[in-house]
Amino acid sequence: MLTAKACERNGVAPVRQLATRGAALLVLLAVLHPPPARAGLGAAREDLLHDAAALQTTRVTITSREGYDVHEMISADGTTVRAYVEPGGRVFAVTWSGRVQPDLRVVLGPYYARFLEAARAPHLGHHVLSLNAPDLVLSVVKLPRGFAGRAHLPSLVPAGTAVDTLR
Amino acid sequence: MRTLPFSLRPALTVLVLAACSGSGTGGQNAQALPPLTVTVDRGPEALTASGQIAANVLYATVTICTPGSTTQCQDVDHVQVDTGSTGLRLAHEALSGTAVPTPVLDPRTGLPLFQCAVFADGYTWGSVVSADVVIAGRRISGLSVGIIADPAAGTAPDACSGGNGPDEGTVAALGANGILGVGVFLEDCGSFCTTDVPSGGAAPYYVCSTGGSTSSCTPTTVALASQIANPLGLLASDNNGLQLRLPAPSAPGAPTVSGTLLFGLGTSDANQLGPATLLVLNPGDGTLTTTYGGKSFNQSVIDSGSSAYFFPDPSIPACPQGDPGDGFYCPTSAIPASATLAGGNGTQSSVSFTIANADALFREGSSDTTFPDLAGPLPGSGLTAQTFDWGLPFHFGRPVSVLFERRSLGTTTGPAMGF
Repeated sequence: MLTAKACERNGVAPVRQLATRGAALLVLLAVLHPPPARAGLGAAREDLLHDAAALQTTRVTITSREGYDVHEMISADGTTVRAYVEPGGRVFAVTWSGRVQPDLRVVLGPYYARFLEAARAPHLGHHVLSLNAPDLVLSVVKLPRGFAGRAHLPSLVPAGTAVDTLR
Repeated sequence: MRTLPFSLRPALTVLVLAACSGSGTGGQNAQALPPLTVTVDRGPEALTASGQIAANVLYATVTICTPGSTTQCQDVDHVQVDTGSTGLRLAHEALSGTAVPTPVLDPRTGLPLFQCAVFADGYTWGSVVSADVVIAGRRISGLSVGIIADPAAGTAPDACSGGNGPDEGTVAALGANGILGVGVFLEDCGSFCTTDVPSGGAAPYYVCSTGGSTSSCTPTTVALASQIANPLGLLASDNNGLQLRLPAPSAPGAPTVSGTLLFGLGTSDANQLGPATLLVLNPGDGTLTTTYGGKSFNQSVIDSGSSAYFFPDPSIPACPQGDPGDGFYCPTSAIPASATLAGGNGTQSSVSFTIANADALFREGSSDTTFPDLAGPLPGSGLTAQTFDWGLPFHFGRPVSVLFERRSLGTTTGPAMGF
């Protein structure tokens, strides 16, 4: 677990390198370093493979929409995580829903620390948590049975795409 | 919770737990027994002592007893009354040790059951025990109860503590001495947990084997009868639901409000549904559909355990960061609003409500705990499933009825809610 925590702190840098330098470097990095334990929001499309494995996903569906791709990852218990990928190849939004909450270290990637910060700050109640910062918009809902959450990075939302029309 | 203005912080006080007077009753005389008194106030001693006060949190006192005993009992005050969850969970910190519950064991391994409860803002880890619980004079024998942060449960496994936010296992973090989950479900996990464990994330139930200094925890299935259960579904009578009746505090706020929780729905003259329409909820997750501002929110909840109306509306300004109302709406003046709630059975009900400026509420009512017009954003909720959270303010001045799953009122079978 200590290793995973170190990865979280350093998670942003490898993600950016992967996004900009392509597949050859991806292979090289995979040999030199273990794959980032947490990719998720803000990560490169390629890292979603790691996420799918880390989330025990049994089915991945990729759908092209106008202006973005949706990578839907469904685990055996029906928990669904969707990663929305912009044309440049980075995950600009994630949503999750299901009986259990997926590991938010994986889903939120480097932004998990921001979720922790918001959860530790004074707020009212335990069924809803939200964060509305210029660079990160996040909400987590605990349903009577199950969970639903979503997060997006406003700066990465493709031009012409409204987040409230994402499917 | 809100941080208490410094001038209002009480001196540190010694937390004295009320000794129990053996308030359990053996016999059931349903008509003669009173409803449960519920109160919105500043919160438990350990919360205010930490420099915080509760806001829009509904509390009640419940009694926990050693199984079979009417003398080894403890009254636990400031347990949050929550129609958005299922089962009684008490903070170990709030227990005196007078009541000695029995561990609930996994029949296959003989090991005690532990539970990971995940919230939107964190998790709790603790043990599952069997206790006799007395609520407003009504005894539920052998109830499966969660003991939050029970030292006997050891350290939470990484699947529980790692990816779900911070540990909420203290009274100060919970904002309550426990949570009394009396929502529509009769067990916290239900039939899924009788045959399956989740494939990822935190499982609800674990058994842990200890080897040397390390402990290894494995998710486990649990029979319905052993799962942490809604105590009101296990009453000898009046066990099909409840009705929550809270008066309407005067706007903008009040120091405290008291009301009643009536046991059963339509089972006596006192707990009739009245003019309300029962809206049947999604049996999978306990949600219904809200239509607000021309948009549909198909994963909405009516939830006494939420402190405000929470919903996305980009046209309403949020309070500036760092302000007292940070995290809530701050319209320049109070906004009248309306919405329609629809159940799966084709029924619907409309509701009018008011969205006040939270900065003004908290500044003017710095010692208030009850805010009927408190509302906040749920940003980004336009993505896929959408939630409109009808929290405690919805319940002020509006009786809310709950019909449990697998229980009926007339021709309607729960899960359902009406108002």
